[in-house]
Amino acid sequence: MLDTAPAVRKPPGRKAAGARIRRRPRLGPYLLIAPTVIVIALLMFWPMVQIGIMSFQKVGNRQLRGEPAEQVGTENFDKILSDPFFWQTFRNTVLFAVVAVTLTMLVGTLVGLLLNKLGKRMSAFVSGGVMIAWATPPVTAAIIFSWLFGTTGGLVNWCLDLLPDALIGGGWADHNWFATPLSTYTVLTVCVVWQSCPFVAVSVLAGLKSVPSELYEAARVDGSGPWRTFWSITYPLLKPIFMVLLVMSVIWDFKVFTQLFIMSGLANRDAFNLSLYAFSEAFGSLNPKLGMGSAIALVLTMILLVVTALYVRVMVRQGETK
Amino acid sequence: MNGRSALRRALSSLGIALVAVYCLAPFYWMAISAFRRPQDQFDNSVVPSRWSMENFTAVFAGDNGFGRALLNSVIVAGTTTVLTLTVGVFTAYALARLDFRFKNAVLGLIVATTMFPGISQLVPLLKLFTDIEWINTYQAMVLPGLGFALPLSVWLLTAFFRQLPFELEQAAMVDGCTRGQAFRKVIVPLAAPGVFTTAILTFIAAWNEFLIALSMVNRKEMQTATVAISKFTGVSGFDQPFGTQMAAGVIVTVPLIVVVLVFQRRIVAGLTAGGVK
Repeated sequence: MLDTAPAVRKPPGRKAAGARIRRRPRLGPYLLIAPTVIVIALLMFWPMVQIGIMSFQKVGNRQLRGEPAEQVGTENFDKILSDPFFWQTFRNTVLFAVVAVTLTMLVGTLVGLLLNKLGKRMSAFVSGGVMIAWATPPVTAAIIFSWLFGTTGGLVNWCLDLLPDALIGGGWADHNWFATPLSTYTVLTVCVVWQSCPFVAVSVLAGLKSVPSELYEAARVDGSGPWRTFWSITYPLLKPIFMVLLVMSVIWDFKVFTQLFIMSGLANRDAFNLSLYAFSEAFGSLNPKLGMGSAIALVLTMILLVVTALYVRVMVRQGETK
Repeated sequence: MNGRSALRRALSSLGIALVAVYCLAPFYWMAISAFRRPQDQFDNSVVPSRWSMENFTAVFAGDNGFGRALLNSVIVAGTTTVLTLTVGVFTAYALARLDFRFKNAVLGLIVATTMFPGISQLVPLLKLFTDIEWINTYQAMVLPGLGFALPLSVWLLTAFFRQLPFELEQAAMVDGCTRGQAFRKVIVPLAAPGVFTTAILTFIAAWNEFLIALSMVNRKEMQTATVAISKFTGVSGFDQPFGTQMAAGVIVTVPLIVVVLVFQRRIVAGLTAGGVK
């Protein structure tokens, strides 16, 4: 866009000074962004630096009482990287993210395509329904799903028990979904996908609305089926949207804490992910190990940083082209 | 051809039904469980055989302190939203409207921070707040909340502000307004819907926050509603008080759902503007 504002604003009679003023860096924009930059520096980057420092220290009860922290070099990292338990939580985190992101994108896209097919009123009604899932607080969602998958009297067990035994086997009535990490994560995945697919759905819907309908008509005239149409028209056109949604989903699902904390808690160590492991090391016992917690949090941050680098590139580039 | 279109319609109805069940059934089950009598807790009928408000009375029973927790949530989420918007609006205006060096770098840094995992903010901030004795205070929950909410709000507001017709601002300046007046009299009214949407999204995020509120507070009077729910022990204290938790879940969730349904179009526009466009 052609910006004519400076030319308009300049009062007449100061033309000579105009050229000089324009070259001088203007302070205004920097004053406007300063508060945000300061807040983010203090509340986001300062803790990040602290995490970096503390991950090389031993910070326990004595240090919290005011004694200087003890430098331990890479001991925290040596300890966690050689601990099979760390790799188990690492595996839980990564596998969960892969499965949950795949399902979120799949279900979200399907719902988005469906919403686009519906009439105006029906579409508004159904998207209202999916937004309810999005607005539900994670704590509430986790409690709902613990209740649905509850051992005694849970709705899911009750339904599974009603199904013929030949289909899925018997003994579902008192099946404990939170006994093994695998089934805990199954419930967690159902819960997290429930909450995150609405966002994908409405974003895909917004994207679909921008695709000219002539393209679909042409495809139909040429005899292209829905599968072919999606991959030849919808996907290429919406690729930037899918990219951003994918990266955002990856980031959210790597960070999942609340739902797992409510569902399986700190006692169930086998089902830990990296966030829960860091939390448990740092505050979970009477003997807090903030250094260890920091080291684990740093590993998680590093993973996210790689994803974020990708994300920022996509986002900023899209902002520019707008 | 007729058969195929009938099949299509049937498939799409089935799709709607599946989506509706998956999205609404969990919430429906929560609401319906909340209205059962506590002794009917394990009754799996689709509609309660006897409706009862007992679970809702239990939520507000003396030792839960749930009324106070709701008030705390309103204070924390409200303050976080106001602070975030106050700081964010100016930055977003500059990022969307003005040209300056390092603009993309600043925007990139702001977007990047939305990805920091909560746990890595929590450890140092909890240590700091313990040192300066801020544990069990509102500011210990509001300030980290501000940190988490600000990047996203700035990004959303920037996306909204970019869509504004700034030619109007120039027209106002031609007519003799200063830049500040043009901003106040032309841009602010136009930008209000976007700011409002951002406020809703920020409020929802702050209201739903759990990790910080859980860690910064160990006194019951200072708990927010989400933390209070997770700590319910129920009437009997022996079994898990699902009925009570469901009732509390309904109370915490229903205001958000009303807001979302009333402002659905705005919120969807906000989500897609911030995330996608």
